Amino acid sequence: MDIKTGWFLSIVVTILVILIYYNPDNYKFINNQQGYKPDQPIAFSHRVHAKDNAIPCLYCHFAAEESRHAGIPSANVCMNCHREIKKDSPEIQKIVKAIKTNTPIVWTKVNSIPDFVYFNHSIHINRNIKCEKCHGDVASMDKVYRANKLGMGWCISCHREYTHKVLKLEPGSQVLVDCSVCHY
Amino acid sequence: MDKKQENRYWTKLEEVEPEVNDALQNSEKSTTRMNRRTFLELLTLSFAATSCTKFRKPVQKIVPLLNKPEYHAPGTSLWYASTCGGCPAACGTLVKVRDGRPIKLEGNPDHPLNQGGLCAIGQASLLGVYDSQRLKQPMKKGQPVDWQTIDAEITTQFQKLVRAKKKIVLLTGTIHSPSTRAIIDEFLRTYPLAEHLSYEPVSLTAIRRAHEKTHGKALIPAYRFDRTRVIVSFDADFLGTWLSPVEFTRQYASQRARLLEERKPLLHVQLEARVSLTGSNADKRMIISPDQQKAYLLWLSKWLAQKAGQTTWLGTLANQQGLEGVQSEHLRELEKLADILWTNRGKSLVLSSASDENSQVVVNFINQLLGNYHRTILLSHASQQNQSDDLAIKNLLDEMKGGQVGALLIYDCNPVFTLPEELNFMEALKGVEVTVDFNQFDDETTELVQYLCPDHHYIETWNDAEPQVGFYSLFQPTIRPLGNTRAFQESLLRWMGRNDTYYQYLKKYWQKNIFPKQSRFLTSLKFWEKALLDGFVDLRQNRETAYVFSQKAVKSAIEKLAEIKSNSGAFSLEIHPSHAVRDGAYTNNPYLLEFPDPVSKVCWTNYVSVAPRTAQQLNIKDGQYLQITWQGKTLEVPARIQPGQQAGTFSIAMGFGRKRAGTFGTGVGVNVFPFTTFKDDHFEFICQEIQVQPLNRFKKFALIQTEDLLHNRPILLETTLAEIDKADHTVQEHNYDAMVIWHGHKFEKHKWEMAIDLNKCIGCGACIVACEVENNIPVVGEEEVHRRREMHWMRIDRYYKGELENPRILYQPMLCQQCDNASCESVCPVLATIQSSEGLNMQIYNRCVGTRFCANNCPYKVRRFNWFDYPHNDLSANLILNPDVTVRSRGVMEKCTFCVQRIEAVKIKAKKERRPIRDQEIQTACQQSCPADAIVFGDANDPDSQIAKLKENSRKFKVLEELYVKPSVTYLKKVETHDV
Repeated sequence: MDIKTGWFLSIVVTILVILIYYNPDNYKFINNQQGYKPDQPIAFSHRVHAKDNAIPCLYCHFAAEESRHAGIPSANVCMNCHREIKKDSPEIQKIVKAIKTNTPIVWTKVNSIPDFVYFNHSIHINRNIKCEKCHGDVASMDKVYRANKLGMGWCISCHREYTHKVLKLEPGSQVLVDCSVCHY
Repeated sequence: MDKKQENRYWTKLEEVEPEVNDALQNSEKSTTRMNRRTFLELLTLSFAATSCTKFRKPVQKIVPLLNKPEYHAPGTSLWYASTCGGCPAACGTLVKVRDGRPIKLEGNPDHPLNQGGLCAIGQASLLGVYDSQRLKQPMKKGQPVDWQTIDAEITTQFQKLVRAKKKIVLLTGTIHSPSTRAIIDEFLRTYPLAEHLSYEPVSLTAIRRAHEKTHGKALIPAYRFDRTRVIVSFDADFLGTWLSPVEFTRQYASQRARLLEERKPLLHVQLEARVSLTGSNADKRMIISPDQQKAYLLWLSKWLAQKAGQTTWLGTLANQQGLEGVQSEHLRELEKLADILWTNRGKSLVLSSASDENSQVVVNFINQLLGNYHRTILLSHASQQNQSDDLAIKNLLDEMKGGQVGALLIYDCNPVFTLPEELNFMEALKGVEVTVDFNQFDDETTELVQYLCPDHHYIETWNDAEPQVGFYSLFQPTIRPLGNTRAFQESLLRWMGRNDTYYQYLKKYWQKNIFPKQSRFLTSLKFWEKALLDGFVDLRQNRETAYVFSQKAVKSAIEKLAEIKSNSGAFSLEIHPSHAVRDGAYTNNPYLLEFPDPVSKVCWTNYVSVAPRTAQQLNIKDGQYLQITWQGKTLEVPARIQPGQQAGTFSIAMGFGRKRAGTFGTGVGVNVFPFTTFKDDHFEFICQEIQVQPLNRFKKFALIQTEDLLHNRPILLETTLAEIDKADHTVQEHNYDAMVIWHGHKFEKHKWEMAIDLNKCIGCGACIVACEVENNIPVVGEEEVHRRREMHWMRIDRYYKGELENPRILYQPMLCQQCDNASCESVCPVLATIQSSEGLNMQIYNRCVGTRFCANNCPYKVRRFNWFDYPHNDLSANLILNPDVTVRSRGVMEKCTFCVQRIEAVKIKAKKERRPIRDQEIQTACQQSCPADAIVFGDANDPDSQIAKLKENSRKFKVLEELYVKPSVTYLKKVETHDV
């Protein structure tokens, strides 16, 4: 094989491979999952719930006020409304089936941080940080994607900029940037 | 070549000689085919490009509950009040349950027995529930069967035995549960020839029998160390393994602290041969051999009887011969001790671990002379924590051999392993038609029985306990049973033809029997709910019942003791319970295997303790194997030279050398149970006249501490009662001309600090295991410990002081000192360890690259390096991991963080409630579990906090203060007592 042909072929093959496998949903930069938009087991639309019907975030993500995790709503929370509304939709039927067969619904995490980072939802909610600040305009998303980088630099930038005056905290309270606030 | 070219730097031949270059290029051009190098280039390019498209995070799944309980949010912990089932002491616990799985046990601070402390065994026993080697289903002759088959077969077998008039015997460990006792009673009524026996390898039968003789009641009294001024203990290891160690430790340490406030000593004298944990804490250790104990008891009783003017009825006591055994050098000390005891009548306590009845009768006599009954010894609160009758066990074996026993049901004991070899339990078992074992784990006994009906782990089941008469403690399940197991009580109910669950039975029992005893609650439901919430109900009688002290019993006991002559000169072997694994029930628990003996600091094995003098005499080196021969039995065991050991006595811990313990415990150490015997009416743990032969083999011990001496450096400081209030001159003030990188950190909001009271710390090591469980610290194994790679964030340093024959032993908990001028911080090239704004020395795992400079530069040697990815492949055992703490990977440095996850959790809680953090709201894991309450943690910036006050205590000092690293841990000096 001629050297030029070799180069040409390999570049063509590489481009082909990239074209075939490239998926904007799961690739941006290494370790940056901004824009990650996985498929979910149930075609749940945040736009319909949070925007059109104006259901507050904390109605379903019940744990965000008291726990580290915001919590994915359990199936019984869905059925609070869907016992009456759109009962026959095939997507709702998936929840009905899950409850009947006692098999939990396995969702795919969109907004996630590494295991060595301890982010606590409850304190942020308590300090009036809006959900959209980190999660983006979820109310306009049909299929949820990761709106922000959720990297350490991105976290720290807020922690530096939000002084206790901005947050109107009680005197003595401070927004910390110590490593041990998140890493332990 | 022009000048420019001459001055040019060149690196290749081609650059200076263009001809050569051209020639080279021509030769390359001539081959237009692809060569090896180009091929590799192309391959790399396409590989890199292809893999670029593959950079994606592994998809993480998230599984919400189908039906969420109202009270629980994922990621938060629920706490349940329960009881520890680690040993029969029944300490109260709080079980931390995270998303449905219990991950940590903590002592219940409101529980009157342990008052918040929890020992190492209790902490580690939680791992048992996740043990993947647990028996998960009923079995018949090694084959899995279902419960219905077992129930049907066993009931028919029982009926057959009833017709054949054969005995059904229930052989259990200590049953302190009143409802279980009621079920057993019903079972005994259902099967007329049935019998129930309690068996503990190390029993306190002698105390029970002695009280029957002297007080007319067979009981073990409750001891109140918190009312004493003088404690004299004959080998009773009450802080380590004897009866109820956590309860006693709390009483002992609190009494020490209370008396110190009044500037008075608590005098504790221990007379023993081996160096026990209790002995190492004594103000005075008198080294006597186990068989001298009787002579010392006689001597003391004689002296005190004379003082009390009671010699007239004790004719023999005046001129008995047994007193010869008292060493002449101890006579003066004993006289002084007797004087002190006499002046502290009613405020003293004399204890003995003796397993023979006569010695215990004399102990009762001494306590009676001193007026300790009803004061420091309470008969009304009789302890139920150890129930066993050695003689009954011997009789059972005789009956088994005689074919009278038709069925043997074994629960919560391992007789094949623990019974003396001469009783030949294995042979006797063959004569029994039906054998059932309720054990949760595969052990030596389960191997030989027909039916295995595994019980739940105590975390999974309901239960109750009555550790002291009138004091009830509740167990509640905090996880669903992980296997197809069934409560022991439920099995008995089925075999009685009853269908109720144990929970129903228990609730009904409480309603019927315990509810009527109290008057606070009007409805039994309210009573039950409160009991469940608190975890216990205290209905102990505070009125002591009168008794008549039988002097006749004392007289005959003294006469019998006086007959016994001590054989000095020959070597004897003393077998004692292991501090970590007790009688072998925990030999497969990795936390406890790596838990060092408090005195010798050896882990992962047992050994024979040899006195330095004996070692010199027999030319024994540390770690050398010894062949011990006694009555035709031999044992090969490594020797550990133990300062303070009695010269003629060799001591070995029991519980090791198990043949069927599981992956971790099988074959670890040496089994000494074959050397135990049945003598007169009790199990004997002392072998007289042994032969010792050093072998030419050596063992490398896995040691947690390798340096025993202080080298006169101010690491551990002591003071005396007289000097305690005087100005402190021990810590030298330095003029620090040395360059310091930092010009003082500012801690504006909080400053987390710790204080450790060395006068309270007894060195039991509960904090070590509490820290391991809380912080996901891996167990590394014997070989790695031997290479000094153990991962314990907290260790207890033990130092010897004084003469080699009988040194003073001092303990010092050592953990990261969270220095303000930390020497580790200045050497980290990647800033993985830096100072926080709250005085913590942070360790950031994800930043660490593993240079280990910090560990080298740490003067306290408290940093631990992950040499490996310690295996986390047992998915079941992983469930104990604390989700609030990162599991560290290979190549990362780690160390104590002052439980920063707990600090952050409380900070968040307080912030949400818009209030400042309360003092003592944050408790580190070590502080929480400390039975002696020696550790205090808090915010030193808060002037009202306990820590701020302790920092100003007259006993304060900091370890290696002269290094100017400014540690955040303040130690309080130990107070030496010189009264005897």
